Amino acid sequence: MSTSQTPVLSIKDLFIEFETPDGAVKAVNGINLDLFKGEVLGIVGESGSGKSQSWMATLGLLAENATTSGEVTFDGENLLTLPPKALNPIRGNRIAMVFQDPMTSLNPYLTIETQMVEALRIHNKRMSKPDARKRCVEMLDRVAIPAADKRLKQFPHELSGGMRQRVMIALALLNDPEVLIADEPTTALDVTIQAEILDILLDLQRERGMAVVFITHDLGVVAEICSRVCVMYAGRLAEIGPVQDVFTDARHPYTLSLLKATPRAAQSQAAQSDDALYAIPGAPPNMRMPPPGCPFEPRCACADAHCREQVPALEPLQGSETRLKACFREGSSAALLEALVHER
Amino acid sequence: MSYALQRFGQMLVIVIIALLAVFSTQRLAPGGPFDGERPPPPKILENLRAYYDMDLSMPAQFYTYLFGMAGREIGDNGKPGKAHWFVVPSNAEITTLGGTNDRSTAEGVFVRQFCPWDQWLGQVIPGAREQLREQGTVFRKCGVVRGDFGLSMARRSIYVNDYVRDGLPATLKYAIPSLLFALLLGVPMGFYAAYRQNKPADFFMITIGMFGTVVPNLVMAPLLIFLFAVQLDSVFHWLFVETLEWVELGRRQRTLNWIPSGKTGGVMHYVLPTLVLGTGLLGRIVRLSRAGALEALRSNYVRTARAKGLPAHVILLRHVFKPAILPVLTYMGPVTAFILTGSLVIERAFSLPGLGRQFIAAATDRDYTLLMGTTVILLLAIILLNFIVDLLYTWLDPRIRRGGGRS
Ligand SMILES: Nc1ncnc2c1ncn2[C@@H]1O[C@H](COP(=O)(O)OP(=O)(O)OP(=O)(O)O)[C@@H](O)[C@H]1O
Ligand SMILES: [Mg+2]
Repeated sequence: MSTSQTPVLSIKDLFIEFETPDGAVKAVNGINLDLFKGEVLGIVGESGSGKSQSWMATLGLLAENATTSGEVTFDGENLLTLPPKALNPIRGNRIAMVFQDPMTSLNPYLTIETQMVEALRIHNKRMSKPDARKRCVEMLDRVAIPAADKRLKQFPHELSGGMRQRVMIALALLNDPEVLIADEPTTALDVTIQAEILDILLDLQRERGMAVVFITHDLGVVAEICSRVCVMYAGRLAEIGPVQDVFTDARHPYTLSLLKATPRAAQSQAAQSDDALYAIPGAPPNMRMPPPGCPFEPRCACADAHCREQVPALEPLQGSETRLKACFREGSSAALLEALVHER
Repeated sequence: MSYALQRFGQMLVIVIIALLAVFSTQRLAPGGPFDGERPPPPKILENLRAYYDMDLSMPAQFYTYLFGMAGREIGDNGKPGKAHWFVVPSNAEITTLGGTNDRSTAEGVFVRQFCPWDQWLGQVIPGAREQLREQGTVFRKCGVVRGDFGLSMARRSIYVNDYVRDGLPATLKYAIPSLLFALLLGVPMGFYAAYRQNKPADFFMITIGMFGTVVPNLVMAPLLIFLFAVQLDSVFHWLFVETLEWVELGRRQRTLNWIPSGKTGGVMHYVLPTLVLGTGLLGRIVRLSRAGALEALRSNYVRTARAKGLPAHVILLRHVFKPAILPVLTYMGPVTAFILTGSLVIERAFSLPGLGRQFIAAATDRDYTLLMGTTVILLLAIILLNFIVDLLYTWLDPRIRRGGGRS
């Protein structure tokens, strides 16, 4: 992926804050990221690191108590400030999202047909109901739902979790979006179905050349399907780069710890070096009072006084256009690993 | 099917328990329907007590109240209030107009001319029952199970059934409009408030709703009479009669009386009662529909709907309406009780006929039969409404509809 290409969607200085009775939660703290046409971008990070919220913000789907700042540019417009009237033709049409929780993301009171047909017809005003229905059946077939015709008539509670997740994917793909944001689309499923759905998703992605944002905890899946990966920690980006590079030569201590904690990422040297399952010591910072320095500093084996005082900026690695990291510490992955192992 | 049967069984048990409770408490309480300031002579009292089965033991009384008694079937010549016959068992003691005691020799018909009840005007005519049948006289069935609530005890010339027949429609005439008023106004208000949560519109809706609910009907009625029937009337009078001279008053008319403060008549007579009762219901309905809509609006499926690019009104109508209306539906049971207590005040304040008025009268007069009758009607109304709510529920919620039982 060359950076000379213009991005389909670009996020600049995105901040998200949630107003709560116990104070403001600073969920996302300055994200800069470009999404290119036809790429599959993996987003990884611990639970609560702001993966879902930062992408929901692009579609204006944050909770009422959220305030955002920054820019999300899509087709020359800032999605964050677009009024609903102008945003609606984009949502579900040019940018679609598959949500994390398939069990509750479909309306239990409406049939699958109603929920799919409305998504089509709101963006294609002249499409007739039978045509819309036909398209829905095609799409359900495409995500390998058997007896699609019958399924359309059913209510969500009559479908299994895997079926609902497929319906969610079919729903998102109905209008041939340019960007698909898939938020842990397979987490709720067992491994065989997971692989099947990933295959379907990748097929469709290649067929249509859409950009896919794939949010997940599963580094193995990222290694398999993503071209680039972006590691998030405490509402910030820790590291971005092509998957192979990042996984074989991680430059941020957090990425390294994450790889080390994941036995399935077989290619990573971190996992090879230590057979015992590794857990990152400590817990993510309280997002109501983030530390003044690097957010990973309290858990980092390589940190020094400098890390405690100043937040490292996301900067390109020396001699690389495609890789960026937010860490003061220079040096190869091996050197970082040394420090990590030493600490244990 | 078995579910319906089960529900029916439940309803039956509830009705019987409620009947038993009202029946026994009113009879166990000191005093009775016939001991007013001037109690009737002992002989008449005895007749009265016998007629109402009060000479029987309590369990027997309850039995005859429910199922009637073979010998006490009441006949009706079809013209209420004129003459009534009832079959007496053979060898029953009857006091006639002359104050003499008579004894029926065979099963016959005791003819009683209305009123006055207290004089047992009539005689036993053996074989008259068959004769009357041939003439086409319909014998009124007796006992609650056969739909007869018996004769009122305070006004002994009127059947409780007739009270109900007249009173229930009179009550429904303002109860149904006020319910519709509260629903048609309250639900959109609640939805809009939820949509604009914590904005001025939200607080405005809640405040209006709560005002109606917090101010008791007893206060709201005179307040609205003053505002509409008095003040607005004089404004109308000044505007249309004196200034614009569009309307001319009739010869004996002193006010326009467009929004009358009471009595029955045209549609306008029901405006104020409907407003008083309707505003009383409004607050609850606003709050319930607001809470329901808020929950739905925060749900993941509404987030999905927004992600589809649906405009707000489609989301509200298609995705939020059904789940948000469910809490309002559940409230429809208690609504019946609210309307009853409200009707006690409304019928007084606006001089309207209706069940509420009879309910009060029955309670103060110790009119056992009337009180039982109105209670049963009310119970049936509550049960019926709950049943309808259940049906609507299963219709609205597919998880109940297809799943069979409810989980
Ligand atoms: N409405 C809200 N009010 C307050 N805090 C919120 C709200 N929504 C999200 N947050 C907080 O924002 C942070 C980021 O949440 P987000 O859903 O993006 O996490 P995530 O990285 O997707 O986690 P997971 O992997 O568990 O899905 C979390 O700490 C969460 O508690
Ligand atoms: Mg998430």
